[in-house]
Amino acid sequence: MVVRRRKATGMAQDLPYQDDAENRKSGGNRMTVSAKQYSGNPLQWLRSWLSQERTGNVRQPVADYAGLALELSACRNEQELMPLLASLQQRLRQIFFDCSEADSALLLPLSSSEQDGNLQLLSNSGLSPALQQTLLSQAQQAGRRISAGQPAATLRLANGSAQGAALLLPLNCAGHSGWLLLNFRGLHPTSERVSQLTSALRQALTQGLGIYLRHRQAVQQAVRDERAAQAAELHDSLAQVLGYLRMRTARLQSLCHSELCVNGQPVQEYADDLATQTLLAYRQVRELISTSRLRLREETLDHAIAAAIAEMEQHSAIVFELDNRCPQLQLSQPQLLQLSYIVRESLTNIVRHSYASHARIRLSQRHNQLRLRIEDNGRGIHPDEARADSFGLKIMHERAQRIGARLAIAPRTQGGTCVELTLADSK
Amino acid sequence: MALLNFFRPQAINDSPQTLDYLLDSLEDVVLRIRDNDQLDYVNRCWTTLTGSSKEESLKRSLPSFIHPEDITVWQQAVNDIAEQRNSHLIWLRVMTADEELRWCEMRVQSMEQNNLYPLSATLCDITPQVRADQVRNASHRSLNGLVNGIPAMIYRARNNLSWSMEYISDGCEEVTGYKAGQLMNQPQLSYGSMIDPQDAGEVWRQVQQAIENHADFEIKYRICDANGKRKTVIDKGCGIYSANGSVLGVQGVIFDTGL
Repeated sequence: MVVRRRKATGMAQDLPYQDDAENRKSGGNRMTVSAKQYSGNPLQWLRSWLSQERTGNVRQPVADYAGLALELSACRNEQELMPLLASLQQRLRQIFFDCSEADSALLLPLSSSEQDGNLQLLSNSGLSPALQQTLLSQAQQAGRRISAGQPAATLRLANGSAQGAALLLPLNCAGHSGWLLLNFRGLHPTSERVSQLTSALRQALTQGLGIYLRHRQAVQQAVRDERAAQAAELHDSLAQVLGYLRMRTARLQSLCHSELCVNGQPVQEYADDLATQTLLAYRQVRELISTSRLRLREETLDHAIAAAIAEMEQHSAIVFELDNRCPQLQLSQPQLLQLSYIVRESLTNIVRHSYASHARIRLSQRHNQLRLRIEDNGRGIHPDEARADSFGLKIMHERAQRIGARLAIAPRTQGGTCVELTLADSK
Repeated sequence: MALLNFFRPQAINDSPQTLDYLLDSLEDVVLRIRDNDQLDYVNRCWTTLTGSSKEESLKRSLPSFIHPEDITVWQQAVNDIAEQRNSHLIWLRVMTADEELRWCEMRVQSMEQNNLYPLSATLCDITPQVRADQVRNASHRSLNGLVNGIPAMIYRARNNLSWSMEYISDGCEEVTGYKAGQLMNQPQLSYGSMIDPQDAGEVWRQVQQAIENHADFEIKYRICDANGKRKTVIDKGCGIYSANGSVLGVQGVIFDTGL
């Protein structure tokens, strides 16, 4: 088998690359295919082939490594990445065709686990688990010593099976150190030659994996940001109410055990307060849930407002008018989220409480300052009539504060109510 | 065409004999627009509409008064005039000095045969009509939402054994399993055919008796819904009569009793 491969390689060297492609399609019987297509004198070719140096004779594939880089960069997760890395074996066989046992190759980029000193085995050529462990261990130590500037490092295999050698070639993918590990168990080229022959492949790996890793980092950062935003919302809303409830329930508990409880009056006050605050907590949880749903649906503020209007129109005879004077408005995700909430809450209040026939939502922008004005021609707002268990306006103010906006809710001079929000640093 | 000659600047003064005096007396806006959409002439009604003085307006372009979402309507009209050389009628919103919006119907055309500019335009404030339309649409929309949101089947039908439906609310699906469109004016599928044969005769008799007496009816009977499930419904309705008393049909509401 070894001899046949060597012969075939020598012949293939003299042939154009497309013969190799056809050979691969035909199942790898390179000698048969090449001999069929070779049109010169066979004796002359044999003499030429015999005169060539046989040890470590390698050939450079004419492969489109840009395609590999693109495929790697398009991967969304490790499940998509693994088959691509596994397919590297085929490319390595093309490069080191003359090295009988050069089909053992591992790719070992260090990802986030680098800090822990662990290497990740991203592709596996079917090596035995023991040899894998040995190579990993060796690479772990050698990887610390070699830098991207060095061509390669040769690993010594402790199990004594190394008639060839294992080479560690450095990669630098978006700040992540990594190595391409090649294991030769037979004849092999020098480390400089291996480094030279794999330079195009390593460059493609560096580019493709670099983009993949940067994308993965961006996704992870987005998830972290989202969690942080949710935690901040919980902290600002529900956590505060629960903390208050905890104190009040403790006080209520002690009152129930004291003599003050005899006439029941203080207990009644605490119970009422607890009921109100529990309702507030319940309302805040509902808002958080609905806000999370809002985030998924609308991408721009005018779409969010239009969706809210469409929803309200189904349940009332009020004429809603959207006057958007800044159609190119750009908002950050938190700004969009909070403004969408405030609009939705305002429109809900108009439908529920205003007795209005018209409502207008106006968006205008001047000197980088966004102004959102929601007004109706209803009976107006009366602070004295505010119910103790109504928290809509309080939550609207909290939402505005969270994005650094100023919110004013006041009666209109012509009748009705006006909610005006000013956001200083809209993009 | 002779009138247009009066648009020349030298003709503009406050003398009662001038066209300017005449244009200022109009209840519609008259504009002249030169290249770059710059306002070149505005009459007094423009000032009334926008709240901007003549002097202030003549320093600005027309699009600066048009609502940002409607500027494309204006641009499209100008493009069409450039290609077709005829007048165009468009609706757009004009922004006033106090940030209000006025809906306007604008007729715009080139003043010269071979040049796009100057353009002349008249604007009619149609805000009251638009507002009235909005109120009417909102009322219809609200009524539609109300009728279709009720968990019952509101109907108007012909007075025949099939009870051929002219109108059915969306609650039809909850009661019968069929969508409203499947039952309306469909000869192959009628509400009458869904009524249990044992009850159909009595339903017909009671409805006719109520119609004859100009009274309401309330009947409980069984139907077989789209899934073949038998259910009991309550049908409360009355006849529809013309001015001379002839029967035009029946209308009412059908509830699913859950039995």
